[in-house]
Amino acid sequence: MNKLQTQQIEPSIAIVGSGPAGCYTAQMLCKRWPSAQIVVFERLPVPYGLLRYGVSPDHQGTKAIARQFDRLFADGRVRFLGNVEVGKHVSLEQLQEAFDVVVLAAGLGADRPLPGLAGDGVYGAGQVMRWFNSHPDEHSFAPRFGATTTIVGNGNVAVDVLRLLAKHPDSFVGSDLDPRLIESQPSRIHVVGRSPASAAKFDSVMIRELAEIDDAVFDLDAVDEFGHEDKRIQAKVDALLDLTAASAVSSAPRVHVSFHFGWAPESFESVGDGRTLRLVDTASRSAVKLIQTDSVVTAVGFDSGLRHEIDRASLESDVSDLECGLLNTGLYCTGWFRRGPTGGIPANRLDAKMVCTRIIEDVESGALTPAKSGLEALETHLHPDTVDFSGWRRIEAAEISRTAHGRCRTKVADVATMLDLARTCTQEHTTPMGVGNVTSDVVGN
Amino acid sequence: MHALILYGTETGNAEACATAISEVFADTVDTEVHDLADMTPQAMLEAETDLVVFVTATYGEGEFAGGGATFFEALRETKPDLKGARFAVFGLGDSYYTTFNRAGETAATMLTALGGAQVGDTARHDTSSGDGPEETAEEWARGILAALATPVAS
Repeated sequence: MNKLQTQQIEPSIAIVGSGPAGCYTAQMLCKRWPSAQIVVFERLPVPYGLLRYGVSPDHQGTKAIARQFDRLFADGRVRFLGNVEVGKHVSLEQLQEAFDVVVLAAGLGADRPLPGLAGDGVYGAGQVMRWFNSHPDEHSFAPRFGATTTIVGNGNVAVDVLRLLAKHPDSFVGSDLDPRLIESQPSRIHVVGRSPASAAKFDSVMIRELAEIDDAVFDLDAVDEFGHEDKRIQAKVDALLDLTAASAVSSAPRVHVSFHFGWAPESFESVGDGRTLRLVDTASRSAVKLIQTDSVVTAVGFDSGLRHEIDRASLESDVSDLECGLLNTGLYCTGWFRRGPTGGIPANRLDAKMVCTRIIEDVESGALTPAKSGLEALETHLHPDTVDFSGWRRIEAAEISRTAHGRCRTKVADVATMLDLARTCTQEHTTPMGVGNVTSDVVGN
Repeated sequence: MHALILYGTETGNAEACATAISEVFADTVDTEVHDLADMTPQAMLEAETDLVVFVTATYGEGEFAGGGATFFEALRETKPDLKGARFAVFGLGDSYYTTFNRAGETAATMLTALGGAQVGDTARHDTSSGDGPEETAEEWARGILAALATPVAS
């Protein structure tokens, strides 16, 4: 009786996007409905979105969050279906016809542009981070930072870009950063933020981390130093003061980094041979500072929707309740797709939790009656080149087997190779034992 | 025998470990798993459990992750007598940072100072080591079960 009830009530669930927002949603719904069919759709052949392509390549500990989701996919509780772009390969309508519950979690944001800053030599930090992470979409992106670069913005992404540009090329052992991407690093880096230091958005731990770059010099123009009641603010200010005090002793630095707090960029213009970034003091709006710089990286947050195959506004309906992620009957959204491009991984986990609570309520209250068969009903619409979790495992095995330059993996950076690797069914079984091991046998003897 | 398994998490790793520990315990111990965000020291004491397992990640500059912050602040303020209470600590952290696993250590120190008796060692999972947190938690949980079976020498 009990079992029958459970079976009746378990809905088929499609989740669009395999970043943290989508995977946390899968994890939480799977906990509630262990035998429900849950399928995570991903545009790329490889999973994990921000964990793979947004989190800095030298923050492997953060990337390891993916191991939670590995377990979910590996034992078949949740299915991964990569290389399927919803809105292109299958329509959202087709997905909704096949699944009782559809959750949109594909909210990657585009870099927010800064007025007056555009054109050659101006790069968005989100794109720069995807490039540092070998994202296939950024294969042809080729930023030229030059000898001097200026990072505009004071969030954690700004500090990620700063760290990757300032760290010694030999100090990326254990990361999965492609060494070719740091072959020409700037020797002079400016970091510009419109707020005073105490209001900067980065975490103090991100600043502490910079102190480990022992052949760099850091300085700053002004800090509102003391008397912050909020411990986190004081910790941030202290971290900045420690960083700049510690590096004052170093002579002949490899890289020199200057923080400029309380300045806003106005224009970036060619003057003679060089280019000049013009800053205005945000407090008085009268003082001006000019920085000679070859390039500018804007790290001032994101706008919604880097890709526009699915537009949230057009999906809202009379029954929408965006506060808890409901768009329409059976259609939900979570993460950046729901609330816009702010907040990190923990925020998206809480977001997923909240939306899952609503989904569970809707099914249990009878507002939504499970009746759809899921993937089976969609199969005829799918192209043959989808990548399942074992396909991803084959791609990953190839990446992990390549550890040149002390890397923990060498990422496959293009979709065609990913698909080749995913397709290669393991045929080693038919290879006579030892044939592939000739070299090691010789060495071993 | 009954155990409370309490976790404080930002990214879900500690929750996953708490679940993994409860699954290892399942055959011999009745367990309840709770988010520290939904727990107070008072409620913990009223549960009259035989063992409290704290699964806590370290966040920011050595702070407790998630609900751990409020829980241990309350513990620090109310200073309940934990004499006779048994606890175990599974810490998660990232050796990339200098504050590696500080929350787990702080928890063990505080609980001991209040009179609690620690079972087993404070685990220090390192997310940069490449070891899976859940696998590490399962192994540690088996060690805790063995320690529980052995009479405490005091």
